[in-house]
Amino acid sequence: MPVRFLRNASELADVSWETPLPVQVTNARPVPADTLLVATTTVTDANRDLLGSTATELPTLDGCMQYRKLVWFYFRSGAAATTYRVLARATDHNGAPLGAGWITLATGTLPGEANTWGRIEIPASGDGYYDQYRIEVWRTAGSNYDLTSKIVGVR
Amino acid sequence: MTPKVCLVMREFSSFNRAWTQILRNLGIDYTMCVTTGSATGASIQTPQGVFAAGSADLRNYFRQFDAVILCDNTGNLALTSLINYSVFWLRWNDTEDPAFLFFNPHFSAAITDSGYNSNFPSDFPIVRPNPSDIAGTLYPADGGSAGSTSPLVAAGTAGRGACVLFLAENIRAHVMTICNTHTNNIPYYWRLDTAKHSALANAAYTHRVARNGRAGEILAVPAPPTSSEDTETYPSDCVVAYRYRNIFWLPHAMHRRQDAADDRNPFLFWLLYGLQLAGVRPRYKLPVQIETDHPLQAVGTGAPFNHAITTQMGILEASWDWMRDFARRKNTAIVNGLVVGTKYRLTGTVYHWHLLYSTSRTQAERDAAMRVHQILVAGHREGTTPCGVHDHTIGTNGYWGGSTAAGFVRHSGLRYGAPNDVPIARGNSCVAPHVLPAGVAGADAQTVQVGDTELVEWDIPTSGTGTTFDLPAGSVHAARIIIESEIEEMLALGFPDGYCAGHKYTNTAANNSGGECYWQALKEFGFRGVRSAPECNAPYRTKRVTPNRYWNGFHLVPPKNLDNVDDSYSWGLYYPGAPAERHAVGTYRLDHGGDISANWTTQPVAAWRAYRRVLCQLTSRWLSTTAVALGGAYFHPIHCLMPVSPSRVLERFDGWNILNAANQPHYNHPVELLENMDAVVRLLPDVLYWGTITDVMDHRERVMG
Amino acid sequence: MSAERITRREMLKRLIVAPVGAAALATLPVREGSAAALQPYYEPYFVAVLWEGRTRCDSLWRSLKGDVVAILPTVQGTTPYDRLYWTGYALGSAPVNVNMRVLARAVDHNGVPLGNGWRAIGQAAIQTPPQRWFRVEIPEGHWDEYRLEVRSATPRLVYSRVIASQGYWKE
Repeated sequence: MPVRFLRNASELADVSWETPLPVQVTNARPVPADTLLVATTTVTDANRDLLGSTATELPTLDGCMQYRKLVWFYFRSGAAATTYRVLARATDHNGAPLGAGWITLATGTLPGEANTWGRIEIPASGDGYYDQYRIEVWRTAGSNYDLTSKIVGVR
Repeated sequence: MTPKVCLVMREFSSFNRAWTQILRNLGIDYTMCVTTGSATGASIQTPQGVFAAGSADLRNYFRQFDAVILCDNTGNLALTSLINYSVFWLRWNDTEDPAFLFFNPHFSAAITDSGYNSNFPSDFPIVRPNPSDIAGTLYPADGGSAGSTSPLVAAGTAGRGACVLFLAENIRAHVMTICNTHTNNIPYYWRLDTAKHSALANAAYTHRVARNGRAGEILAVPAPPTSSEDTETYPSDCVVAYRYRNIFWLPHAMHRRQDAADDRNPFLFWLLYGLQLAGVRPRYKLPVQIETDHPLQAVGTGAPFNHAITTQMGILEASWDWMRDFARRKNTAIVNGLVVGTKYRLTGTVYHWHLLYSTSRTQAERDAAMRVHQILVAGHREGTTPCGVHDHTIGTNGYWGGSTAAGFVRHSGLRYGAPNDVPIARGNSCVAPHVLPAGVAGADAQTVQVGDTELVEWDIPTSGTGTTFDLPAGSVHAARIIIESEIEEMLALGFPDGYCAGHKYTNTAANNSGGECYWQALKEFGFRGVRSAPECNAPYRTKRVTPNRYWNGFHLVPPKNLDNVDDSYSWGLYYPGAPAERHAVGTYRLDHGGDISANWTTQPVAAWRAYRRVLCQLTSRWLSTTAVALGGAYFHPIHCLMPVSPSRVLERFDGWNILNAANQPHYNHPVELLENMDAVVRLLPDVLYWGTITDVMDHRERVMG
Repeated sequence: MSAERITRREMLKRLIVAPVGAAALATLPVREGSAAALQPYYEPYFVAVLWEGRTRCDSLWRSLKGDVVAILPTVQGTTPYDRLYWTGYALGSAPVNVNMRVLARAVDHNGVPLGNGWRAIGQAAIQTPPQRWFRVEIPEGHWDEYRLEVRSATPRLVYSRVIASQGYWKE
């Protein structure tokens, strides 16, 4: 006895490859946004990435190709004027960068006073899908302070 | 019963996330509550409401937890308010009340809050520290010398030493212990009011955490010295840990700082011990294991020890025999990164292959090396000392340490060895197969998969039939050649595999795991994981991994070094006049106020002080990576073993009673470190167990989402 | 432009039955709650209801859940969502003067907030005449937790629902 279902509210159809049984997803869950990084950085007057490195070719995040964008959340404990810079580049399938250096996606003054939250989208407009990102911060005045960051990858 | 604790803190911005990471790793549920202030009038913000600190509502709320943990502490005894609100909880002692865990608690006589002082229990047996009378209320610890910074900020270095006797367990262990400290940067232990303690110890008290059925219990004291040389003694009323009914008064467990969870937390033994005392039964126990790099190697034969190669091999033989037996008794496995590549690429006479087979070594030296090697092979097969590939011979260092391994010498045979003409770099054209037009790919086209990415490559540079060529390092083709060459050498050495037997793991040279293409190749060869630093291809530094990276089922285990030296081989716990990085005290900045260096030649106690600090520092680094990062702790055997007495290799440290070849105190690093960690494991049967790297990887899969 | 797959239930979620007043949320763009106006700008492929219920408003800032515990979120686990939409109706007799504000924060992988307090995303007021309905679009998505608060000079009920969508903006 074939399995049948009501198609288009009026037509009986047998279940087959051409007319598969329609299913509705219930309790669907969204594709999760992935936590990529949680770090506390001491912001100094030296240009460092969020993980504290001054090595200019070293990425902060690697293997990010699947993410349409990254969202950088932070809580800053100090008010010192701070510059941030977001760099990105692509790698080949072996993970090797296509070349030296980076594309500068964004640079600017890190918003917020002492003990405030911030949020920066990477890239600010359009889609990402870069393989590697390097996120740098350094203060241009004032005193060192702690910056706690979380970066989420969104598909 | 579900283990559940409540963390009470003043604010998230001073909360050390190691608290929650450890609880997560143990499978202990937690709730975070934030106070509205520090005074007795403060309220506690809980998910069920805001409750006054002394209210029945709060007490009832707390009763759902196994333990309430206070997270705030200070290094300033003059502070008038920090956790004053907690004074009410000292009287919540019914059987339904949870255990309260206080770590480095602030109960100073400087507190002027009348609500605190009037509610502080009059029968509390530990003397309240008084910043105006420190000498009369506290005992200076660890030599009583002032450090350059607060003892509380010690991380991977700058720790203080202690040997603690745990009374109920009758176990001595070196664990970093600071009961209180002040702005003078001196660590202190507590002073007991013996009359009050006596009354409590004789009073019956029923609570699930009162293991002796009494209202008061001394949990731990400074351990009495084992040698007359050691003059760091403490009065009989000195305590470091105490139970007052269901209240645990414990030393410092976690530095109060805004920080992501990392393994720079050297005091966490007391958190683990506190959880165990409070009867919090973790869902998971943490596996303890250790690794070595270069299990068979020789170092310099010059001053100060002048150890001949045969002497060094004798030291290694005795130590490996002991370590193999330790692993067997404790049911653990000491995995080893064995230096390969030297059969083909690195000329020299100090690495594994050369020591066994180089004709520039004497027969006696080769024989001595072979005796060590045979222990490793036998241990690999029985599971006590499994060995894996560890290659310092590729280009700059380790996997992908540079863009090209110039003059790379490969093996012969197998699939990627000479004279096979094999790919050595990515094809100049690479297209995904589902979008590749027909007829476009070149004659040498082949499908390559790295992770989820599958590409058809063609126009691929190849090796030719020779053994020597420049090898571009950044491709799965290069990785395959390199790894097969390493495994071939392991097989030639008599091992049945190159990945630590059933563990399918190795610890990598320079902690360089390379990057995706190397992980792919390692997976193809059957590896489950490797050790990897975050900068995973230093000094090239184009790749990075996070400490909990899990790549398509492949583990990248973060490293933690436990050597007693920072440069070349160790000259001992301390060596007068030597560069700091040549001895343990200098490497880990343990010479507080010069109390070791200034007294080394005149006061024998300085050696014991160094011994305690070194053991505390390294045990805490090991415990930190075990409990927070679920990483791989490791040391270099011969580099750490040179300070032993060659005739008394395995004997325990005994100050100036046993001297090494440089007439300095004998010290066997692996014996001391493993025995001390064994004491810690025996103290924490609910929390720790001797396991293997497989257990570590299993647990990482379990808890690192 | 590809046809959007939408169920009848999803369509109903987008239609606003009664005339809607647009609350001008400080620093946030606000538009009229109309499905027709939404579609050219945004094509979500997933929408979830995060919260729905009644809030008893009084003079204190209360979360939609009714608590005054400042450290508690109203909704959590909201990381995947691009945007949130808060739609509601203030019951009770006129004049209506309900203040609302939207706070957000991020937490680490163990659930611990990165720092103290919250990020203030915006604040607004609903006043009669003319409106009792309100609709707030929260464009700063991907925060882990939000705290939505209301208060009113005169006690009243606010019946509201918070939905979130995951998708992407078409330029």
